[in-house]
Amino acid sequence: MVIHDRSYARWESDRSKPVRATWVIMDRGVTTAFAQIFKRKLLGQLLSFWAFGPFLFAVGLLYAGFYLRSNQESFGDAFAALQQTDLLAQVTPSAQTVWQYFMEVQIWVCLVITVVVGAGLIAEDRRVNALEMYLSRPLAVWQYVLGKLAIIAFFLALVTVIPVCLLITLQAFLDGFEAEETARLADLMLRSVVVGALYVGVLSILILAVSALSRRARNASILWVGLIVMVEGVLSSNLQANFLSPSTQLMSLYFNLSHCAAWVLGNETVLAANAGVSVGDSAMVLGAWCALALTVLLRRIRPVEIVA
Amino acid sequence: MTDAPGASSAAPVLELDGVEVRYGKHSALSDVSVSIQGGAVGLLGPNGAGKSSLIKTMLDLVPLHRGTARVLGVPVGRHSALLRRRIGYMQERDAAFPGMTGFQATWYAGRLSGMPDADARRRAHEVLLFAGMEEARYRLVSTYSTGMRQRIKLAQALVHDPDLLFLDEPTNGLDPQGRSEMLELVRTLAVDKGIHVILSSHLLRDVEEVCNSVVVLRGGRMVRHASVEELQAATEDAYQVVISGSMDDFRAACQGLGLTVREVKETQLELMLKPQVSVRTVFEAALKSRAIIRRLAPVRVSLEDALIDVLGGR
Repeated sequence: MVIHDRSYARWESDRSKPVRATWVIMDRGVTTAFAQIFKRKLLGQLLSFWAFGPFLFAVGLLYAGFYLRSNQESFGDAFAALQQTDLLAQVTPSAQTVWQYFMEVQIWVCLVITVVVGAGLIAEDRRVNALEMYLSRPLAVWQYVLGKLAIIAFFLALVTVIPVCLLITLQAFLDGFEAEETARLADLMLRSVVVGALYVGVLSILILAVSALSRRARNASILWVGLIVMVEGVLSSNLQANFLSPSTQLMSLYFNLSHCAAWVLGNETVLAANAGVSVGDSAMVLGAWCALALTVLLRRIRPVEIVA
Repeated sequence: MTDAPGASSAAPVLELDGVEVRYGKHSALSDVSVSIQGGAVGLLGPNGAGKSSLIKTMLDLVPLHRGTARVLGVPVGRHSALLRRRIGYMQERDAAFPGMTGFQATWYAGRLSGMPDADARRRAHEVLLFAGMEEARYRLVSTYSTGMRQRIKLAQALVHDPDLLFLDEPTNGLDPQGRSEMLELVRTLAVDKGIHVILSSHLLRDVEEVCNSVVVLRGGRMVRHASVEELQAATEDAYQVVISGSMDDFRAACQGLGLTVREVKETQLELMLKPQVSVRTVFEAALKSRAIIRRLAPVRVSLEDALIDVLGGR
């Protein structure tokens, strides 16, 4: 093949502007992950339906409730019937429903997302020796980690925090921004964002650390799911209640997350059920997990692998 | 401010003073001091000589244990991000951004180097065309042949138009035609485009074809920094000779005529001839010692070994 020098020209530009590497990595990562999910159309549609089905159901129900209540002359019986089913109470934003949305409704979707999107984020880069390519560019290790963290955090937030915030906003609209209710919803939204940040942050950093431990996305997925199943299975509520002391629940990621989330949201029902363990201990355990994950990330993400 | 990256146009491309690099207890580079003005420079040495470690140190991927280093006038270890915007690096290992086409990978490399989106797209097309990848640019990199992967790595190293290009074994795994094309590209960059090139190779011929000066490393130490012409003048040819007759007399005759006898077995010895010495001298030695030459054949000594011999590395 003849080599034609017909295109190379010097690039004149200002190189002093800072590189937004974190944004570039996140942008590309999110696009690639969407493409991967929707490469198999059916899988993409099923996952979307699973992830956003409960949210759309809640939106529909809230609007239906609002419509029926507004037209009580015509649909008075229907509104009463709807109230009797307790369905409206289950989707109306409150400390209890928000906690349920995070910890019961979306937890499995989040687990699937961490496997599908998160497990390969660093493992694949390590498999194809891309770390050296990244880190020989003008970006630091923390920017790389933050970029990868932002990818998985985006997807987790997309199915948890964002729907919750939208539901609260919708409720405020349907209530006509009545002062007392709006204040309650604003407080709830703030607490939900804090819970979301904790939830998304902890899950993201843990799956990223697991991903950094392997050179294959599949192996990282197996390790992640295995850890979750083993720990959560051993500490399942029946076994826990009958044989183990309450403090052993601190080993459970789910327990610690739900405990902290309940405390932030002010969910007294859950707090009362977990009375044997203090929220501070749960928060400390989560902090320790995150510190361990960060250590793993910083040890694993190196441009040059040194073999002793 | 002399340390600022922008104020270094007249400074040497590389300036190393007593550089030592360690991987744990293992010393990869020891007391390396050299000043390279620019152009195309070859890093030569056998495997494990420290060529890749030197490049990685200059990119601030590996920390300096001792000594100081400046690249394009900028101290290594400070302003790393700004410095890397002016450096292109083509690594030795097979590497790719996962799940991307050739165009996407090149564009992404440009974006990571701080290029605006539109510029990165335009430059990606340009450098892919330059690297001869225009027809394969929309294929996944994972489907590329070894030669194409080398070209895409070169395109990624060039996309942000660096002032200095580090090429670590760019002809690895290439067939003769691919190797020749790759070297042609590198020569074009160095000669026509004014990009400083540091080419690391264990193949003297690659360096000979592209570079105007050479830094020779061995065991983590710098053995020599000289122009290619100087080194070529000093290189000796090796010949294997099998004779009938007195081996001692023949060896003495060879040494008397200024030939270096490197290795002797029963009826066979290895001679080193300086470039200006003709093979005819061997026959003269045979005539003098009444020996009969049964076989005279050039020995294919690895080029870097011969080079290091000349430089007194052994």
